[in-house]
Amino acid sequence: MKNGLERWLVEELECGRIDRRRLLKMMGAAGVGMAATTWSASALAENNLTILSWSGYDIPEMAPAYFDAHPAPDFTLMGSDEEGFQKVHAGFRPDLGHHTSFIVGKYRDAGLLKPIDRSRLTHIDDFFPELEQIVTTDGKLWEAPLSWGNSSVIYRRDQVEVTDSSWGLLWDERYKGRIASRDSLEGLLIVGGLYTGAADPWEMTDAELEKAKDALIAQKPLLRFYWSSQTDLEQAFANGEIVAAYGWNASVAMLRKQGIDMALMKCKEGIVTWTDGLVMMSGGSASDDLAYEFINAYMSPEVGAFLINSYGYGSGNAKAYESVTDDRLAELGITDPDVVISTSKFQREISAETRQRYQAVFDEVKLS
Amino acid sequence: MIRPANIPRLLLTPAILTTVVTLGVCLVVLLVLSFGRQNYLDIELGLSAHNFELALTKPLILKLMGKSALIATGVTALSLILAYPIAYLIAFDIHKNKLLWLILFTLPCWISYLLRILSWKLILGYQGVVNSSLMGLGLVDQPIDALLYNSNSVVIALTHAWAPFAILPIYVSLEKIDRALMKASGDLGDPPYRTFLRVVLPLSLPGVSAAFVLIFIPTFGDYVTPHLLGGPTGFMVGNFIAMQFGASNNWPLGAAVALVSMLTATLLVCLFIAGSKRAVRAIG
Repeated sequence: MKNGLERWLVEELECGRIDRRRLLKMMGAAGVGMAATTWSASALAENNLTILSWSGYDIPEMAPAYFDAHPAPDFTLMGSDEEGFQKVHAGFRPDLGHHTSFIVGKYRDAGLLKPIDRSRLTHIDDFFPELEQIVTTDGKLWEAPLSWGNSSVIYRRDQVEVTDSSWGLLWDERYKGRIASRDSLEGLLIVGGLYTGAADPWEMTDAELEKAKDALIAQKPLLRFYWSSQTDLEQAFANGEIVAAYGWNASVAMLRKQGIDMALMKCKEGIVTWTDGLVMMSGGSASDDLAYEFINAYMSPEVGAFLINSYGYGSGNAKAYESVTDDRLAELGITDPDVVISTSKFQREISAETRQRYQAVFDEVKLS
Repeated sequence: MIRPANIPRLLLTPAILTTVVTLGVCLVVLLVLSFGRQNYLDIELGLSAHNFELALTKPLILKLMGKSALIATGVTALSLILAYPIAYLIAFDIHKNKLLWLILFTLPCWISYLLRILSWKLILGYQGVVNSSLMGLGLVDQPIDALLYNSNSVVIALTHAWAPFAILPIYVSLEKIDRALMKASGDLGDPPYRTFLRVVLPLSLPGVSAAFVLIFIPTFGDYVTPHLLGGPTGFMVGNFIAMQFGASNNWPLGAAVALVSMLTATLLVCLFIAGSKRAVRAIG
């Protein structure tokens, strides 16, 4: 019964966008405040973890040690960083969030994060220090790093003739109507910046931004759609609807498993490397102990190996690579992860002011 | 004690309360927001007309507003053209089981809207029903990709969804027409098409206008259909508003554009109703 009630509450929080406190206030106003407070106090004591995450990360394989010891956390899935942020900004209070480094700063600015106590992370010393640096500001660690991967042009090798390894494939007239781009700020603007040769795509000047915008608007007639769900993207590749798109290693791995000849391009302008991990949200209802237990299970080398083997992502944990076959590492191009990491263009945080400029241009590009 | 005279008022209370809360309060919130300003994550309330200035001058917003008007007009026109003959048939040529026929024509509304959108994806898609039929018949050798992910697919899906709503009001106004008037027109020498233009059409105008309002206003502000079927070029003003309350995070601008688009839709509806009355009088 309690479980049912909790589930209802969580659903209500997601759909109705109200937080627990406000809900209790409302119930109090209706004269059931007393009963509800007693109920919520007992519920708080043993509250389950609520995690804002991504499809594919909500399975026991991603934190086996935690799943063995506790009931499964309640997962809420998001389709994009911004969508997740809007949920939380509007009042949804998960305990943990799985976010890319690109958006962590925005959460921090909004006062939605608790810094992470590094000493409570069992595996952190096995992690590549570069990943930790990206999510550390003012000496505080805001995210427990987990994985990294590439965003680049992914394409069907059997249908596309690559003359030049460049983001320009997404602007190639020969494939008009068979190209897809991603419905997200970083998926459009950073790529636009790289393609038009901006000095620093994460901090473009107004002139550079204008150039990127023009290129992205010129790209629109060539696009089939802007994708927001990975499944949609993969299906469109599988049935031949599109032949090239902005995408990730995981889609390449998934489609190869289905026998489709996919590849991820090493673009000459540079490919983008993202890194993500778990943040602790302020205002969550489960205990910190439970949250750290989950984080530690998530960061273990076994989970890292699972990420590499199943999704084709890189693990932030250097020990994870020991249990993966050399063939697999060579296939993914991460035989020397430390070299790859130290030479990557990391998808990094952008300043609030830049983000607002970018967002206005994004609206213009997407809707025009 | 409840006096019988008070009963109607009491019965109205829930409806009035609901309207005040769901419509009145929300409108006030929109109005207050629209004069404010977004500062990164915070909204500063105030009395700035900046957002309205943007809503009325920014080329992107004007373009989206125009496109929404065009799409909504197209959908409404198609719906009326498709619905009128059906309503006419049920009103004048079917004498038994009229209710059954009406229900049959509203069958599409029995399925969830999202499912209907998904079915359109399956029908119009790259390897969809239309394309595989055309290829099977040997009429084309490459799937046609102009079917889906543009404004056309938005118009098709919206028309399919809304045409049934046009049948009912038109049917009601046709049903009310006094049959003697039509006979008289014939006896006085009007051929059937003139009877239709001079008697039936003017008298069914209230139903047509009701259908227009019923379809034009919701399709003008629609954003789910263009989001799912519109591709990179089919977006409407509703998508802009939704984005301001979502990823773009500029609620005051979203509120101002929402208010302006509501007013625009109202204005266009008024223009249509006035125009259609004149047109019918001119035909007569």
